Amino acid sequence: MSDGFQHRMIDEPQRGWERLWLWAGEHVNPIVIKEVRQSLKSKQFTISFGLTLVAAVGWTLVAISMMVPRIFYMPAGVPLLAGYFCILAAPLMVIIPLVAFLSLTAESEDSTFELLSISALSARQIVYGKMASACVQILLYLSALAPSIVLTYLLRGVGLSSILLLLGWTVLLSIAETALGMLLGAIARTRMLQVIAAVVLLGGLFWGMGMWLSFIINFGLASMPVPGWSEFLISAGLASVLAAIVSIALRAAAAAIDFPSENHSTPLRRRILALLGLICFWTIVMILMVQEMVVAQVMLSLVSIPMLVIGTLMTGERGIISPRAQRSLPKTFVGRVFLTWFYPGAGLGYVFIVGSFAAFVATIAVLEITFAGEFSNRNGRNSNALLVGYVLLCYLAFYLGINRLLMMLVPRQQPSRMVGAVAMMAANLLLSHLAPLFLVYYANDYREFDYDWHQAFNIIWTVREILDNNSVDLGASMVIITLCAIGVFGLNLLLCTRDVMLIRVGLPPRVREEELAKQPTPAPIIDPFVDA
Amino acid sequence: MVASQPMIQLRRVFRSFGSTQAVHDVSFEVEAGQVFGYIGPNGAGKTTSMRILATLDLPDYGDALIDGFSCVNDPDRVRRRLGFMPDNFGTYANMNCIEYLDFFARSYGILGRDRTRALRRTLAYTGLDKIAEKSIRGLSKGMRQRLCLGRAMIHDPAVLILDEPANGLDPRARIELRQMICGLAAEGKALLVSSHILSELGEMCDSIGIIERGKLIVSGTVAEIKTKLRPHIDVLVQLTDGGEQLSHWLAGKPKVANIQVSERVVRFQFACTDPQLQAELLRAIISANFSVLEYSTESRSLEDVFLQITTGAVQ
Repeated sequence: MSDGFQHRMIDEPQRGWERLWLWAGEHVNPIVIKEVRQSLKSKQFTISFGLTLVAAVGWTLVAISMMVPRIFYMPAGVPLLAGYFCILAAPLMVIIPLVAFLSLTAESEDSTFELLSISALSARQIVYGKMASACVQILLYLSALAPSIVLTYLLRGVGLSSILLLLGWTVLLSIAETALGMLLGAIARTRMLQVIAAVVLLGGLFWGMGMWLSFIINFGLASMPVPGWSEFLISAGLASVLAAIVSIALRAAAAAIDFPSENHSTPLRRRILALLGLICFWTIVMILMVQEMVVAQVMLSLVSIPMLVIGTLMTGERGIISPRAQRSLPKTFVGRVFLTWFYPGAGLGYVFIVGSFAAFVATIAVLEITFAGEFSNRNGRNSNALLVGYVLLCYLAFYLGINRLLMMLVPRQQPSRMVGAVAMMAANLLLSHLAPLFLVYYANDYREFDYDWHQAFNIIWTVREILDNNSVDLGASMVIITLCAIGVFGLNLLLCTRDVMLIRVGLPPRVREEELAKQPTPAPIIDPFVDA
Repeated sequence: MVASQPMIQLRRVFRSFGSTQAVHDVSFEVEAGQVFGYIGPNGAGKTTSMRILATLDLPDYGDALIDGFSCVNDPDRVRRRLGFMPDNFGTYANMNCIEYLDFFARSYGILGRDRTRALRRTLAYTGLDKIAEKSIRGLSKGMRQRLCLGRAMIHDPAVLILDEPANGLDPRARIELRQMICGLAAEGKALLVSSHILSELGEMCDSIGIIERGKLIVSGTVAEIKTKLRPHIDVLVQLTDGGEQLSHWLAGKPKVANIQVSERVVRFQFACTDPQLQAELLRAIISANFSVLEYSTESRSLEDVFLQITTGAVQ
């Protein structure tokens, strides 16, 4: 055994802070230690960190020398800060998310992922550990650029609040991109998928960086030197929604790499519900701020798209509540009625998505009933938010329901069911949109035609008709959509009864035995009047 | 750990990949302190069954249990009791041996002094203590095998599953590995070992299972299987003279068959594998006044058994 190794293992901390440091080191996620250890030793980090430092110093010298002598009497912070953001954006918005993606894919490529899987680490610890390691790298890059950024404040022209807000957003976007990169890395398990994912991710990261930098240069620094409370409120809203999306992405990444019998549906659905709740809250805030129900229409339309995507993925679930998941099923009938929808299964997921979106629509409806008159009088126009919400809810119930019924025909053991569900939904949407269009076009001798009941399943056209207030042609379509949605939803609900009737199962004897062994044994009661 | 409970159990496990039936109705048990050799040609289903036991794959039907815990429903409890050394394992770049083992010790929740002790024990056991600070990249194949074995046993698991542990090792490293495995079994651990080097398995395994095309053809102790497949031994007797007389003498005896005489050497089959009776047979020959120069019995090797049982068919 070498001396260094002996020294490291025998050393006992004497001071309080050393002991605290050691305790923290012992209890931190092992993945963080491994990842930081590996990344700090890697050539990639040395080169990118070195380049960032060189670029920062170089830009400082070049910019200052170009601005002399104006710099002595004119504010010069903005151009310098724009340059620093450009330098910082490369590692934060491209390198770190890409490294996080590669870190997950490399685990499966180097056959180390299986070794991690069979350790006592949970999939969540693996994913969150890698995320934390990315955050450490973000901090390192920030600390490298911090002196330069402070310099821009001293050169005047940019407020401290602006710097902090834009810096905060850059960090948050970097974290979001890292989370999405990890989700992609977790999903792409084959070599071909990994290559495709890497190309898509890299393209997305460069696009994201370009968009963010153009926003910073054109709006963030030029026209918003001192952000007001409304900017901070909007930022808070967007940040909270983004944080919820990050949380979902990380949990989904953990689900993708975890053992199949584990129940990931419940935590994921809780997070989706929380996200919907957040969006609902900020929608209400925005409506009250701008006093326009149009906000509700926009938000309903925006929210329905991810709900359709998530719902489609859920219809691809295998639809089995494993015995392990059955151990935590609700005990009571009421609990089963309200909480079973959080458990794994395509049918339960379908009802969960439709139910959640219905709750969102109901909230908007309450808001519309309460405020619509007041707002419309003030702005001189009527809102169709309630109708838009209702139609989108019907479409969601119909299309997801049909997809779920069709997916029931696919064998449960079939791999890539979720990809199949997405393909099936794409086919459904294409067929239901294009087929009536072509049929009516053909029947009209290839002449233009107006909206009628034949286009009832055309989501875009129907919603546009509602927004245009063309109520004359919508009556029949509304009846068709409503009846179809109720029929499909009812049939799916009926097919879910087996899952709802499942009851909680007890722990296996061996598990119960171990749980009992963990509990402290009560001290024996000794009678003081009797000799032992 | 519950006494009397098998540490490793496969219960009617089925696993298929498309139309390929990788594992078909396989069941066996391994007790604590036992080494179970898992033998089969390439693609027989060994690795698939081991992966199911290691909580890396799910069976289509049936269950696998480690210390009574289901690999399907309680993988977290199984993992704490299990050390798995896969056939194809990876190591991390930019790490040395001690960092690698330290990381896995942390991953199993071993903290503080316990981790120091676990690292010392593992490094000493695997003989890696001299190269603890050496980068993994610079390790030889044998040293990497040792490192992976060290990783598998860092948390002192009750069950070890080793998939082709001797693959690519030189003779000396193989002997050392065999000693390590026997030592672990002596400590009371249950071991499931697959290997292509059957002679070594025969020496270190208490029992074996032979699998082909996903089906467990036979399982039991090596002696039991040999007896079951061929319930007799080949005996060779060399005399100073009188080979013909011995063959006449043997011809009338029960349990004796296939007598062949070649000058002073007599070969025959004796329908008994009990060593005591084999000794009695020698005593009877000498008592009948035959001058015996050499007496030997030939038992069949594990290779012979394997070749007789398996057809070599792959799927």
